[in-house]
Amino acid sequence: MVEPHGISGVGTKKKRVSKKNKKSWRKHVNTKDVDSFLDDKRLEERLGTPFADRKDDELFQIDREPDGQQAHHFIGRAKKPLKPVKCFAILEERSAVPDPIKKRNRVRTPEERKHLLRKKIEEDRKERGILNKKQIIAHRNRATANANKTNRPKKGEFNVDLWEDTDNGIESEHDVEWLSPTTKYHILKNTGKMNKKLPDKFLTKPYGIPAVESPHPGMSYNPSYRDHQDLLQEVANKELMLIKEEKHLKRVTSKMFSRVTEDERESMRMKEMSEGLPEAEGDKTKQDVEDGSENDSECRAINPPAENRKKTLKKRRKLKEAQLREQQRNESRSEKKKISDIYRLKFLKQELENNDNKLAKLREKREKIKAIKANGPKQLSKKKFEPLDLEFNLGEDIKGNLRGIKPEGNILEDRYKSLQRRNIIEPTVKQRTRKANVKRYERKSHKMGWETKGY
Amino acid sequence: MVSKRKKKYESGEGNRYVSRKTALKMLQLSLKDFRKLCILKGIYPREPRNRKRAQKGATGIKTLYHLKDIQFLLHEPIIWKLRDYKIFAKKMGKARALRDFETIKRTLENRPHLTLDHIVKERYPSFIDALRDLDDCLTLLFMFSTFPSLQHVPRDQSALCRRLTIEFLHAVIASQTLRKVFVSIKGYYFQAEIKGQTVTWIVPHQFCFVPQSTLEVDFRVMSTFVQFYCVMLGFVNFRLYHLLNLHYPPKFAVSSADATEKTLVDEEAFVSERVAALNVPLFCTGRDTTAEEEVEIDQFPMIEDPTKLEEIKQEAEKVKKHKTLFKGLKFFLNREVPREPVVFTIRCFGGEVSWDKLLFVGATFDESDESITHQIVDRPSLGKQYISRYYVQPQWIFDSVNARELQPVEKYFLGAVLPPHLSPFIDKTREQYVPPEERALEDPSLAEMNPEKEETEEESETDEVEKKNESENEGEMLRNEEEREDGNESEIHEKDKVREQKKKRMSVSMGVVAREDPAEKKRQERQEYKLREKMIKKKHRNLYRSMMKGRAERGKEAWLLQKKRRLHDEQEKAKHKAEKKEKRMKAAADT
Repeated sequence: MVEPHGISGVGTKKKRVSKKNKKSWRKHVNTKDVDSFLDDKRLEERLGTPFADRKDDELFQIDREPDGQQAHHFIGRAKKPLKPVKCFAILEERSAVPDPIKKRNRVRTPEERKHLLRKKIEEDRKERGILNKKQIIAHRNRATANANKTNRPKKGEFNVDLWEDTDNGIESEHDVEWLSPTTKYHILKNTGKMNKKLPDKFLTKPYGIPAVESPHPGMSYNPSYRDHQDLLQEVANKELMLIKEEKHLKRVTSKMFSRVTEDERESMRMKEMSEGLPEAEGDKTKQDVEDGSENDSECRAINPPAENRKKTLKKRRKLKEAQLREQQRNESRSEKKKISDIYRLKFLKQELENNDNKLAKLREKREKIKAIKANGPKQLSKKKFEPLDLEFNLGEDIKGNLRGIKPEGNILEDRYKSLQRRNIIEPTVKQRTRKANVKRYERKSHKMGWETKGY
Repeated sequence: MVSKRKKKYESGEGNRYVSRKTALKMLQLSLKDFRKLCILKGIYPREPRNRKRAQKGATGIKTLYHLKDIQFLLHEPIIWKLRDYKIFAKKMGKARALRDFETIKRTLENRPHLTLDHIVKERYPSFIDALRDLDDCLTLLFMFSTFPSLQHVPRDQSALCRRLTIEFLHAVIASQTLRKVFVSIKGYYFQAEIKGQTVTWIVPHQFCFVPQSTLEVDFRVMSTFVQFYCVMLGFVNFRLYHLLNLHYPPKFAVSSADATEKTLVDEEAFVSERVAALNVPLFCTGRDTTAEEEVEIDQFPMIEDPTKLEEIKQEAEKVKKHKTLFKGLKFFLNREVPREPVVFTIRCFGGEVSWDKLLFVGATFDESDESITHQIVDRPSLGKQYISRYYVQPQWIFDSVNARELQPVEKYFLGAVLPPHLSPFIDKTREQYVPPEERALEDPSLAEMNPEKEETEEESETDEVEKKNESENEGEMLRNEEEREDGNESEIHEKDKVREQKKKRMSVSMGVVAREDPAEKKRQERQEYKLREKMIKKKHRNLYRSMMKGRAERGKEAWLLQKKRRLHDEQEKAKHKAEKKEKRMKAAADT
């Protein structure tokens, strides 16, 4: 179709094209309006009858209820009707165009496929209450699951006396006198009532101190002057010990070395690293020359060849004789000593006694240390146990009444340390989970600007 | 045949220990689960005698366990639960990531539960064993009952802790077994004697929640301990309640006045609040056992020392009195007084308590009640005061409990400067020097005696000279009488003498009581004691010796201090006397 004049403008000349053959006709003819008309029609077909053609009561409904009533009909969240499931939307008809194949064969469900006789038999069995194996198993499973659910122990519910039998002296029912031990064992083992006795080892505790140690009397909220001073003294002594230790460490480590400036250190390092190297350049050439001259003559082994020097027979005999003489002399000397020792008997006894005394003293000392260590914390891991500091209030913090008390110390921490001190748990260092150091960058194609914005 | 070559560390100490890593491999558990299992089962790391040998030659320090311990753990059925839990966590993680809410719900329903009943029974074969280990348990649970939901601490744990501890307090109240209380800056120390076992625990001060630093304390470990102790305390409570004929879980008879309140809240909350108030006696299932418990102590004729038996009897009498310390007294707490510890203490000794109705539920009477005997106040002054009651500070209660008798109220009046609160946990049997001032604090009877004594002493000293004179006079009189008797005897006839002698020979003389020489007896006793000392086993000898030595040293120290004090006192007295004399002289000179 030809474009209308108004749109194409006044000044523009209409270009003539030939529509001689089919190809050029197709190329130059404008079918837009026809296409759009057909598209519209197809869309209408898909959506149903157009709105213009529909009747009024298809599109609108008459509001017969007053507005006020609607407010009462609030549908709660739970009562809201469920929306059709989205995942099945693809299976539904989306077009209003009727199915062109009127009679389409559908696959029947197993229930539909079942023979009438079969159905009748099954119905009869159901009426008589006969179940097949599958149903029985399912029934049983459901029952056990339900029982498990109801019998599950609730947290914080205690309705049994754990120590009823042991504390009241009731032994197990099979503990009858006339049963032989083997029979008893057999019964216990096969009735599943074997009660094992735990070895004592597992019941002994690794500590000898009470779990809650009695507090220092100076820790009272309103202590007597003497007790409070005692406590402060104790705390101060501990602090002084720490200071002393620190001083010692400083003296032994950092103070042992003198301070050196940067330049000095550099020069020292140079000197240290170049130790043993040929120093000046002039010397180097000279040495090189000398080395070269030596190398030219002959190559020498590092270890000279062994000489085969044989001893003469006379020499061998002399050696043997000397050895024998030495042996004899030693023997005679020891004999002499034995004789003289008889006269030294008293002295020897004294010596032995002294030695024994010394050992006994050492043993005593060792035992003492052992006894002290027995109640102390043991070395259970790399980290050594560190006791908590004593809690104390300074004089000005003590108000003298319960209202003005200033609580000090943390009970949880105290318990934690106490467990460590009693060797129940090992002292540990808190492991910090290190995050990988990730370098973040923006892709060129995907600039979001977060690198500069910071999120 | 050549015997097999022995390899290193295949027997002895090298074979007895395993490192933690090996243990993990043996049990196929993660470190987290292994820690949990060890805590629940009570398996501890060990220190070997020879570390190098135990570590199979490896240097450095490893955490070691006994191989037998790990083999013991291998049999534990809850290992399977821990593995199940791992799978559960994996499933949950996956479902959460996929936002698969159906699976989340299903897995949560089938979540594996750890039941620890059998472990409690295994670790504490008898009830007494469980009571012995209650210190740790109570202290931890009291602490955890103050916690909100924290990381690594299950959400319902603190509520359960609170419930169990309150139930325990009720059991202590019903059995009246509290013995000592100490208010320290760390918290309240309580000591009870349950079935002959002393149980000590610490209750934190009631202040607003202080955030716990996670750096120092491993919360996961502590939470595992709490998990185990919760189960343990639950069973202990159950048994304690049943021993006391109380219903468990705690119940109480609802009075009609409460009925209106009951409709406002739900049943469970109502009961738990009343229970937490600690003020209502619990519902008894049988007869009251407290009245029955007053049994007479058996006579033991076998005990050598009758004084010991007497001592025991006196102690029992004291304890009986102690139990009913506050009986018949009615207390009213002001709002500023920490309610829970004070109410618990008062109720343990048979007192009646109430507080402001708006402060907490469970108040039984009003402030205007005229029958109130004591009002506990912790503020410097009070507006309206009743004449019929004492206004005392809370320390009066604690000090009375520790002294085992009611303290004089005057020292603890409203606004008074309190005497120091002394620790009852000091071993008083140890020989120690106690200055008379401190002794007076503990025993008020001494304090009243002392000043009077001093006065009387002074008076007596002034009279001393006169007394001396009198005694000398008396002596002279006696001597005179004796002389006179001698004179009479010389006058007796000789015949009579002979006759008397003959008579004496005939007569049946009176038996002389064989007097035991006390010194001899003492010597013999001492010898026997020494012999007994020699019978001490070699194992305990050193310990005994060091004990005796320590005792002697302490005694000596106390004696020395006492002597110093005596000398000091004498000096002071002399000074004082001199001053007084001077004053008197001056006064005399002035007049």
